[in-house]
Amino acid sequence: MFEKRKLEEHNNLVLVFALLIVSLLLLYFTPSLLPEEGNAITGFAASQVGNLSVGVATYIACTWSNPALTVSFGSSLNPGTNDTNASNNYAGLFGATFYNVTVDTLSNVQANITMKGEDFISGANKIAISNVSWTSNSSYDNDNGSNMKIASAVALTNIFNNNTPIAAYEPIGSTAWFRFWIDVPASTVAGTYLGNYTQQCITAS
Amino acid sequence: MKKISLLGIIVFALVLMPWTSASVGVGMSPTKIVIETYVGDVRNEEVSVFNPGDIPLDISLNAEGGIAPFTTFAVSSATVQPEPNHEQPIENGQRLMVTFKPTKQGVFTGTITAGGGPSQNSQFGGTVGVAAQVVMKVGPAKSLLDAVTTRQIIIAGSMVAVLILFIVLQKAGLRLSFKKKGRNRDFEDV
Repeated sequence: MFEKRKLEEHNNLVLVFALLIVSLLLLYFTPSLLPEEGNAITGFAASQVGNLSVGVATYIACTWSNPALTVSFGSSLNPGTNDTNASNNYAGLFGATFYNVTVDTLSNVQANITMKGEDFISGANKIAISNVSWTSNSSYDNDNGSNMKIASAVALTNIFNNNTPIAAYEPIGSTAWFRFWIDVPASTVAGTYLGNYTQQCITAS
Repeated sequence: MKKISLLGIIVFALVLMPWTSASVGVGMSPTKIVIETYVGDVRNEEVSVFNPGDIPLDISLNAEGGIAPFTTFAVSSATVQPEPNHEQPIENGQRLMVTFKPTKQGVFTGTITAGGGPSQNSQFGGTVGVAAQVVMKVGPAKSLLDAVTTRQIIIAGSMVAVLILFIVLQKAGLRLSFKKKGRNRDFEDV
């Protein structure tokens, strides 16, 4: 008698699990029975909704002239001299600048091009980056534009200057030219000073 | 006459030579990343960096702005060879993984920059780069209830309902039994 009851309880347990598994399978494979959005029975005529998809890829690329990566102002400047040209400011044909940046044709977006700099350092001495000024001309094919003079130059800062970019909404394939000048404060200690600047292309938006 | 022509050609070439010097370039895709996530989540995004210039460039990745504390890179630098045909699709690009793991709520913006240079010991060296904008919207950490979907609730509820039904029927007198085939005392199948 005891064994018979045990057998019945065992059978009942098996049946419960069997029913549960069948329920799971039914509910999993009949999603239309579940009140998901778009599948509810409303009484109106139903229509098949097809999915549409599109892939979009964006690329931004810029190229710089080689001289733009190695700017020099000379090796024996005197303290207290101002507006000293970078060596390639007027080195090109008819006085064109060799410093330029181009929004490469591999881009498919327009670019804003901005610049920042870091102080010149020589041991414990420094020349503040604000002593470097620059100007640019983003007009295509104008590497010696009349606006690229010291009079219209702005001081370089240690953060990207979004208010005064080298070029804004620069079209794909177009080039921006720029020039540098440096002031050497009268109190500058003799030495070889090294500094750097960073230019960055970012999607114009 | 020939000497004059040759001299003219040489001068012309010398004048033009600076214009044909190699260029340095860097590119990136995508140009903007927008993420909606929650505190504690880990999101991986892949960026592609490539070289539209003429010479190989050592490119390094950096995160700047409000996203910087939440951003890490599996590989933060790579040497990228110039694109051979200078057209899509990109052939020599490097795919680099960026991981975002926000630790607090809010909207954070910043940039992922891919840059190269400057030349060693240059008096005023230029570092050049491109940047992808990043916008990260971080919601509060998810609770267990937030992780449970409506479908899961319905399935669980159905299981409980079937179980309760069976128990009720059993209490009402339903009995099910299965007889297992086995050997009798004389060891014969029945």
